[in-house]
Amino acid sequence: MSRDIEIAFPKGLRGQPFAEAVARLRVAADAPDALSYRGRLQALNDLSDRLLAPDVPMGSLSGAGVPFLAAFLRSSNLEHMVAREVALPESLERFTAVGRKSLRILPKGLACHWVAGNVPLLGMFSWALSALVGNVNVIRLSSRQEDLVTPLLQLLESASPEGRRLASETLVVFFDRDDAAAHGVMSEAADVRIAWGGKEAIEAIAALPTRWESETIVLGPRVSLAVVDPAHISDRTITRLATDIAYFDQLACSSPHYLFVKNDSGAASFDAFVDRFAAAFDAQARAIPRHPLDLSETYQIHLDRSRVLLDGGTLRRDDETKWTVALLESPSRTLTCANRFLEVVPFASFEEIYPHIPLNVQTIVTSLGTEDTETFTDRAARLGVCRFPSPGEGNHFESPWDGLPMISRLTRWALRTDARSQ
Amino acid sequence: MDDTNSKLKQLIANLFRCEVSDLTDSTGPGDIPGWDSLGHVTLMVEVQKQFGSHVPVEDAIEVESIADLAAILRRLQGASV
Amino acid sequence: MFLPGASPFSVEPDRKAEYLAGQLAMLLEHHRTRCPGYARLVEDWQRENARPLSSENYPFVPVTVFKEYDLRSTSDAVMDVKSSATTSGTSARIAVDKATGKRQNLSATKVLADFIGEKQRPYLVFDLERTVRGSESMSARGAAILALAHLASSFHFVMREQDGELVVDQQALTDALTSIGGEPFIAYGFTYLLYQAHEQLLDSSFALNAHRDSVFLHSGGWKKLIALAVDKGAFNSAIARPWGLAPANVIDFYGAVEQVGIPYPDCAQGLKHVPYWADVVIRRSDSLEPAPAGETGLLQLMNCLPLSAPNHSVLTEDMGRIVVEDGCPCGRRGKAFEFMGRAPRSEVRGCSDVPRH
Repeated sequence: MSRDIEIAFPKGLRGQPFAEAVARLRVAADAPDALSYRGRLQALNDLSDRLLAPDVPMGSLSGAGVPFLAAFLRSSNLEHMVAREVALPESLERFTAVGRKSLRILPKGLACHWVAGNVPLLGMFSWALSALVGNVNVIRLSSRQEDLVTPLLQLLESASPEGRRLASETLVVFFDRDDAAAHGVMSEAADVRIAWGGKEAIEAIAALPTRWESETIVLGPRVSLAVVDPAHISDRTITRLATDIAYFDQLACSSPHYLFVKNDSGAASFDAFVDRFAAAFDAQARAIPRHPLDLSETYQIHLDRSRVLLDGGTLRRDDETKWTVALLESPSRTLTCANRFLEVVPFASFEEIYPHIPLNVQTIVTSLGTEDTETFTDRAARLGVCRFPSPGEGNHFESPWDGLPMISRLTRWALRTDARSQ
Repeated sequence: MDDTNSKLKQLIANLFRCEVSDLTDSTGPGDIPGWDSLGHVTLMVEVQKQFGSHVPVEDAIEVESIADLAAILRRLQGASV
Repeated sequence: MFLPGASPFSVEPDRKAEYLAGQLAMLLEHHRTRCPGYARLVEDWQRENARPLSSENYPFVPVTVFKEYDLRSTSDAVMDVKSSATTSGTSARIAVDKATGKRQNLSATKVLADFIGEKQRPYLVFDLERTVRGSESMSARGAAILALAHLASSFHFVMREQDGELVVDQQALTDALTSIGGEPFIAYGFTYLLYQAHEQLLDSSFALNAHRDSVFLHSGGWKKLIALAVDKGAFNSAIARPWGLAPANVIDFYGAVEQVGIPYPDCAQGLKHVPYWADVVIRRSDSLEPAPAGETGLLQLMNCLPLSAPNHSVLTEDMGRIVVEDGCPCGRRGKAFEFMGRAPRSEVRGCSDVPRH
């Protein structure tokens, strides 16, 4: 047992051994007065209300993607997501007849979330889905991370009686990245392990000792792109597309790196689109704050801009390093495409795009005509793409995510042949 | 005048282990093995030993041929007389 | 190019700025018309910059570009200077033609003479003779050795190769010291090689002695020494002590392969000084705007020497800060800066990835 797992939330369990704290959580979740599915939906919606209330001071939470979380936690949104996997939501409460048998969908038990380095809020998305279906949760942050999760859970506690109850089934813990013993303890306790992060982090988590019957959900590093037809995109939608790239400083797995632009009606219309897009990107880059780039990131922007020019491309950019649109004949594989650096590539046929869809693709933000959407998404989905949101929805977390039906992976499905009266 | 050139060629042939007959007035750095950057500076040191004239770096770097070097030496020696 | 009668660090700032603006404008034109790649970079830069040229307002080429693209402004380069293979495995190549080579030689000699005097002295080189041989290409290490060549009265290479490693050639060293007698000498070694050589000499209890005016110069990365927990102080005494020299006789100089001909030795205050034919601008993170004195940023290095490749103004991945402008107690005029090593690689942020194909 590692003594280095430090409990940050709830306050009452600070200083307790990890195993005891987990046992307390499990008992609470199994009590006769435990929250129902409806109660859980309510608690999450109450948290959303609190996040959206103008009088609640956000402090360190402001700008950390809170609006995305608030929208995600709305009951209507969560119910839509559940409906994609669960035919009858009542089955989350009790045995419910489905066809000739009855189905009951139960929580797996204890879900442990390992949260990506610099995006602590990500863990709140998987936490919410997991809590919604009745799991008790441990969210692990690294000792170097700023704890943005505890303030959110405190907000949940104060939101409503349901919120207080749901918060009491969650543990926030800290331990060092290198503390193998602590990682092992958490991994072996978990009925579901959820790993968010970069390649190195998720591979390390996937390699931890675990019980054979436990489930592992890996939400790993991925790459996204966008495909638009200037004939099917309004100025308003162009602005939304710009926000998809600007939010999270283009460092999220759902952030587009390349923008493919349909160019079947001549150079003039392509150029006109680029002008419209550059103007929108400039405005959004100024409106949405970016983390201050360190020296190495700053150098990278200048280097990548120089590479584009030397490769024969052209640039639309600001006079500092805030945003870059690199116009290239085909995507370059050496550019970093982070911190608001977008490659824009014209295409005449979708066949030109398919070879550039990477193996680790996640999202293609799409704005095409109806027929084109059908043609393109059918093939692209078979090439590995998991999501085709509209501009503006690129960074909206949803289930399925990374191709995984999250509700199913977080639950255990019990099937019953109903007793017949003789 | 010919005397400086031929003394120089003899020195260069000894230093870079080649035949005097391989050298012309227009032979310069890079033309024979050994007469590279280091060889050139070594030659300047040897020239100072044999001719008693220190070739300033400003002149040494301008040398592109045996004729150039001979001209510099004549100038330096003329000045010292 | 050099101002007649002006010593490298004596030109007053206004005159220097005026001189540089003229030279830099000429170089921009020179390279823009000869190097199509550079012309593309300048064209993009000019779209965003209408202000008059100055060190602070001048395009700078990121050094990595010289590893990936063949940027040259001549078809008659006599030699390519290559950086030592780095972690990325590729080395930078900078074309050097005759005219540029001459300027670099003269420049390096003038700068180093200002620190160690003009008098030629025997030169002890802690490396192989092979490192400086050949006419087609030259390594950064070779270029650093040759930077001191014109201050040498004789050359003594004192290392040899053994099982792929460089070790002290004790016979060559004995011969060299016999020939030097008790005269003051100059010595140079790549920082890590010089350290290794002195470790070996210490182990072999080889008897060393040097005239107290002898000077050791070194340049190159500290990475391996940091791994051994050897800092500058420990390094200086490890080199100086076996020879009975003061640690101040060991001088570190910074040189970038993209800026051959401009060595930056430490002055007695531990600062780097910029000769009048070169300049250093510190670029801020996040904006690349020029940073005021005291602020740490990326080093933009400029000099007026290069005619054969557009490496006259480069942005390095190294950090530094201007400590004083025209007021160092050592008496050298102009900007004095501190070199602070390679900018740390950014930690991974977010969950984005590089595309895999």
